[in-house]
Amino acid sequence: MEEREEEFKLEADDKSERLLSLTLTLLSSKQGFTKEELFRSLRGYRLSSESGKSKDALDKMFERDKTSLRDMGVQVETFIRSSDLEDNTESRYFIPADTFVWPKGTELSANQLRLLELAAKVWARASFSVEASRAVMRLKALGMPSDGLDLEGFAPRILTNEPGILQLEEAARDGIEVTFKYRAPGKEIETRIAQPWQVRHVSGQWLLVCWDTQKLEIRNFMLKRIVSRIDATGVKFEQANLEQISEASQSLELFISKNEAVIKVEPSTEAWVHFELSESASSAEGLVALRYMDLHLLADELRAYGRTVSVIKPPELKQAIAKGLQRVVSQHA
Amino acid sequence: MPKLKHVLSGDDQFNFLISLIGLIQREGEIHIDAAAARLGLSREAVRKGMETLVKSGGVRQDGHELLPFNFDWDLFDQEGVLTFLESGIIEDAPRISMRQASAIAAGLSYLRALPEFASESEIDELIALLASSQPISTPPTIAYESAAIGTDVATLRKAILSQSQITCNYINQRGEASDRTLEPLRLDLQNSQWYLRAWCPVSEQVKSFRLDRMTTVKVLGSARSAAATKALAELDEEEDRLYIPGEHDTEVVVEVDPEAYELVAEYTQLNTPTSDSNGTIRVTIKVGYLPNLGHLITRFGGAARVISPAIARDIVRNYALESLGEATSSSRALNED
Repeated sequence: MEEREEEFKLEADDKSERLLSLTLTLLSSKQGFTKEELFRSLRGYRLSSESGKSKDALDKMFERDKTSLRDMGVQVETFIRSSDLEDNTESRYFIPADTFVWPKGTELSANQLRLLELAAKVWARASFSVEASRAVMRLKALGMPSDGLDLEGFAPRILTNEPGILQLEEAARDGIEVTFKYRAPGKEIETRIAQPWQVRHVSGQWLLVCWDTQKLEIRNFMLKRIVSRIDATGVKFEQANLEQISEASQSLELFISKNEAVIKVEPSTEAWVHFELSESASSAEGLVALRYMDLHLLADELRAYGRTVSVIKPPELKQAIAKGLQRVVSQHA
Repeated sequence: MPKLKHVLSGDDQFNFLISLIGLIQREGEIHIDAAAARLGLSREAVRKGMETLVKSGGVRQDGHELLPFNFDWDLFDQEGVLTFLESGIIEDAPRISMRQASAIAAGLSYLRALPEFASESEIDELIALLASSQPISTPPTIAYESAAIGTDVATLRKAILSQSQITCNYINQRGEASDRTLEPLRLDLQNSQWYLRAWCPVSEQVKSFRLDRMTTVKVLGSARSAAATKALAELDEEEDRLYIPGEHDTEVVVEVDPEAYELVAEYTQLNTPTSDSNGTIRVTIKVGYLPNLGHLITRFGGAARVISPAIARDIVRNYALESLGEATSSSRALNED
């Protein structure tokens, strides 16, 4: 406890006070405020301006503050006053008070709060851990915690090894079209343009569910096959709705259900245990039927078992495994 | 959740302030220690937060000063109780952001892979509540499809909770199967892969065992040993690294494309690819048993390459050649155990 207290410091320019003042001011009036009015009346901006910050720097600060507020769930909206339309088209900023707080009666039971805390914990050091722990702090106002938080004996962790995941989620949230370089297996790198809908973890992979504006269809890009930075194209789009997202997920499920591979596994090997053959009906033959999302990912998985697994069908899988092996041989010649 | 960060960023501090407002408004009155405990921060942090609250504000439309938060300082000084005398503008707990809601909802879906949560209807209710957290209904921007539940997970969990030893058949990284006695300490789920962290009485250390290489798990009557109990106490909750480098490890330089980043994630900070490299990076990893590199590297089918040492390159080439059904091409040794 002492240690915490000693080391607790506020940021020098106390951004939090500026953000809170901005929130309170924008909540206080339906008329809204222009940026100039905010710069004049909020202490944080006034002090920055007096200390010599340029108008341009103040504008940037304001933009960053709006982004911070949005990350915390505070929606700043703009409108142009109708009486101003003729001679003054300056935006007025406000926060709709009716949507700012939780609906009346939203409460959490002790067990629910415990589940939410556990759910935040699984992000550990992965990409959305900060958001998850901030959410938990906020949700604690909605209910009393229980004692038994610990998941004794379990340490579930989500991993994210894909650096672009945060930007893609942000693009999905804000309806920002993006472009990136993508390497489909066995093909040259191509530049893709996507309107992100969701980042989704399926079958061990993080996918970008999106609208492909070149092919005019729903696509699932595998995040690990993105080989460049992610840039905005400057185009905005309307965020996906629930129907579109569930249609995308159903069509992926259908796709997976149609992809069948059959492999033959050598007895008493690691692969035999991995594919749980001892418990399966066809184990005498060592035959296993598998559904797969991506032929090349399955090829990667099977390559790890070397000669102890052989492919019965489809022939493309056999080829994908062999091609990869040949590449490895030539790379290590 | 990470333990308390000693210095909160401006954004985290703001998140704390509106959490504090929500908490005080919901409770009406709350003792400073209770508020600190609920929010997972120190009493001093809450005290400073109060100061920021009272000086935050601006101007009203009519030009008058706006300082909406006013604590009952007498009550605070006498009893340490936080309550607002005035708080006209924020009267309830503010909603969370879509990103925050999505992250938690994805975490909840992930928990479903644990047997005790598989059929928990509260998870569905919470996911629905989080979906309704936004004023305008929008689909989550992050989603996690629950992984399959491992067959032995429930049995191993029972052994951990009853502090019992187990026997199982395990195929090690060299492909050798053997019966083992282990003292299970913790079940780790990393994306869809289950691992058991257990005390191995033979090697007298904690090791990670992949559940998909384990069969015929049986819980024994014998209780956890003192050595295993000590090891459990030292098993750092936050330490997720599955491979603990040993002093006899070989340093191997590998080159990986983004498709194989998972191979090096424990050894380097993964950044967004730069435009000229297409994301290809070189990383030094530690390998305890070099022949393992055969399947570790080969599985990626070209997206991971060994640069040095030469012996490691030979191992990978020979593994790939053998998998192709071709004769291995080097006389350099592969015959170490």
